[in-house]
Amino acid sequence: MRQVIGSGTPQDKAPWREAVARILSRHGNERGELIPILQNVQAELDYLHREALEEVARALRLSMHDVYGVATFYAQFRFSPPGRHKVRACLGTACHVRGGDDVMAALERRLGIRHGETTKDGEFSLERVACMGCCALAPVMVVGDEVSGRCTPSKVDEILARYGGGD
Amino acid sequence: MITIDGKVVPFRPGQTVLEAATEAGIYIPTLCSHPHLPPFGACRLCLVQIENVRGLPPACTTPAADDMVVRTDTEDIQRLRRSILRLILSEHPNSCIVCGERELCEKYNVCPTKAGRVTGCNLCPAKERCELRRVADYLKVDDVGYLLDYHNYPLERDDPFFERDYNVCILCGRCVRVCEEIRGVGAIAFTKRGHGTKVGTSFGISHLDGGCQFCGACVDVCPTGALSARATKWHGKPEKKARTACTLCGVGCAIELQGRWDRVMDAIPHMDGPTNQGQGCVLGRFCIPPLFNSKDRLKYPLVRKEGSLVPVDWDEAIAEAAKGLKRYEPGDVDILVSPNVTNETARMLHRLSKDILGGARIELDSQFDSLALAASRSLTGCAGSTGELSAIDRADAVLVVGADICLTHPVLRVRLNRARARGAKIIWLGPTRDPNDRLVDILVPEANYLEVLAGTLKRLASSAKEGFDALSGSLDGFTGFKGAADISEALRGKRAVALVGRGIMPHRPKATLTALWDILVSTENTSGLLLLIEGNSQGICDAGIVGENDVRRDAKALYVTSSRAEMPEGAEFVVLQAPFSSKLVERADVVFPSLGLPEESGTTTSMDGHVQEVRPVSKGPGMALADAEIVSRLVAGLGGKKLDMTTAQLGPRPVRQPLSRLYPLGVLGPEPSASPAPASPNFYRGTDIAEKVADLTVYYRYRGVIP
Repeated sequence: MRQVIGSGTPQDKAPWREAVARILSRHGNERGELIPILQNVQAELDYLHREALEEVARALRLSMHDVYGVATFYAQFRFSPPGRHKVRACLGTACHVRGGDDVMAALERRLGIRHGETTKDGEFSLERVACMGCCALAPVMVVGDEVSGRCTPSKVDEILARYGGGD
Repeated sequence: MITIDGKVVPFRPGQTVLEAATEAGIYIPTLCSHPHLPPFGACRLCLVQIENVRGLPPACTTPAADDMVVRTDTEDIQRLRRSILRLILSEHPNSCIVCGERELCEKYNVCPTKAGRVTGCNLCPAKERCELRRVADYLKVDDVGYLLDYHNYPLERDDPFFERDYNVCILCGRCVRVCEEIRGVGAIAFTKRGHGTKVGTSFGISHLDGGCQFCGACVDVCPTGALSARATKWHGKPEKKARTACTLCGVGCAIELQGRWDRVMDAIPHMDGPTNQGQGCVLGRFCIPPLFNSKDRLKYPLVRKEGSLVPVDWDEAIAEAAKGLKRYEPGDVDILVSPNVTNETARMLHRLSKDILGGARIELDSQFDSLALAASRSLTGCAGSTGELSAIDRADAVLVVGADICLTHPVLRVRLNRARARGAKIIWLGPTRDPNDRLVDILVPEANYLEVLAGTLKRLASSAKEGFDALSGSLDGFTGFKGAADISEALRGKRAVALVGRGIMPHRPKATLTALWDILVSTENTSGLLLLIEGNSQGICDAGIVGENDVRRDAKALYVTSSRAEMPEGAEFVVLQAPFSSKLVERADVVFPSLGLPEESGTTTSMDGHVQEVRPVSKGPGMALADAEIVSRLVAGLGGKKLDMTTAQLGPRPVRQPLSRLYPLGVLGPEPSASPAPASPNFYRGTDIAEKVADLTVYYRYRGVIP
């Protein structure tokens, strides 16, 4: 890590900063530690935000953009805070065959976001998953813990309405 | 020896098959490899057949070996390459590449067609330099066979200097690699994956926000039209090219100027420049055309008549200037030399002051440069750096003192990055506005740097063998600063380089230089490099002009070749010779319009002593003349013998004396001197470059360099 002598920039003591510092101190400064570090940061902060990535990049002496490039390569990382209701749409084989894409398109249209994003009011976040393990119900979507099978675009409206969203 | 296509060719150890073939003049198509970059092996177009090697290995990543037998163009290979190129072209607008009417279209439809979106070569600014087209021609691809999968990414045009259209990007990765591996900046990366892969910044932020330094290296390595310089992208094919030496800072990068319509249209770093090795910076790469094609160029000689300046012909202007200067005693005349004129002009100005005007005072107009050159001459007997920039390539430790390199000498970052990659320690004392400073191992912010420097030098001095007692005594009171121990440890007994910049100006610059030179630079294996701010300060100093740069307040007549000069109140008669209009014009009695960098001939000297030729690619505006010609006419007007370029040859540079003496050392202290450095870091002939180049203003405002 780089050494700074004398007055640096004053550090604010946001809780996330302490969490990131704690994670960084557990890992070495090698580039190979990057993915485990990102996983731990996401576990603590729920998502990877810009300041956290900058902090990680600084510690590993990498470019922030490089770190972001690595993180976006993997589907497991998210870059916006999860919404109060986590909406997941399945695009696995069975759901794909049964029209999962249409369900996803309807969700994106109704919520006004793309998958991987969160609505402005923080109520809904949308993710794509590969299989929910209930292929007989395909196409499947899940809000929070509630699984809905045999979804259609019109059914999407009904489900979202129950959670106060979708208009 | 290696056999390629039946030809037995030599190779050097470490060379790849591709490099051996290229040197032997054998073409192997490639899109991702580039002479500046380490092998990558992404595009798979350079696949070759090697006897006794399974499959078709890529030539760019396969080391050449003795007795290797390589075939580069069998029908099998070409068929495979064609398939690969078709896949690449399936995501790149390709109708013009495979169009049957291409030859006629290009012959009769030569005008560059401006368009927002590139949907074919006829709408692409990179048509003349596109490598994709060259490879497609070589492989004779006349049908892509896939429907075009156009990404429909938005055009990225909100950043200064260059524009990005990732719809024509082929993901060769050259831009990402040059930014990270050569420049050490990493302002872009591959984001996402698979079909969604795109070169970009984190969270899609702007390049300004993301720490880009706008050096243009990515634009220069891009094989397609994805990246293009905004100011020049539609200028088409250059009519003229000339290799010259940039004088927008002291490094003296070799650049290739491109000209058209008698104007400079582009400037690209030259591959084998001794000081820049193919790299450039925001100033040399992007600022030359807008600066020298600026509407503020002076076009006609002007003479003040009844209070206002009126255009006249050269004879009248010269006669007027000569008449005016003759009215004054030599002691009342000051000549102020711009640090951007050529060696020849400087030499002639020197002759003018000494022989023709009988001893007029002559000064270099650059605060830091003249101070540093004068101080180094008094220390070593030879003004200037004690080594070349290449010393950085051999150093174990690089000490940067008061040099905000990312603003004043951006190209040096390339060498620093290379040194760091080798494992050298980079120690940075003083200001840095580099938003991406992961280059630095030990950083001492400006507020603390003087104490830490003094503490470091004291530690180094007291551990030196002999003769430093007096010196270390004078540094008493500067011990025990946190970090000084680490820094002196990193420097002690190592091959080190000290880079000293204008950031020392507010803090007892002479004492700092003296202490650094006597304690650190005098040791074996250590070089001290003066980061001269301006283009040809070293050359002008070598021509015999260097002083303390305080225009004498009682000068009555001034002959200035720099627009920055502060006018003494008492100046009665002012002759200004400059390429740009400025406030100074209002004070001038005679104005000579002179040529600028892309129009000039002669030589300049880089800050580490390389004398390089300056060659013109364009004509000056209006009646502007070369500085040397103007001086020569003025000499004739003053009744002297006409000087010409051949009489302006430079003598040999003095030989540097070993540092052996100790200087009474002023104690380093935080007390500011009266002359803070100007806010703007880059000048040409006294004109603030950021003032003339709108995109540079945007960049510097964003970084908080200028208000």
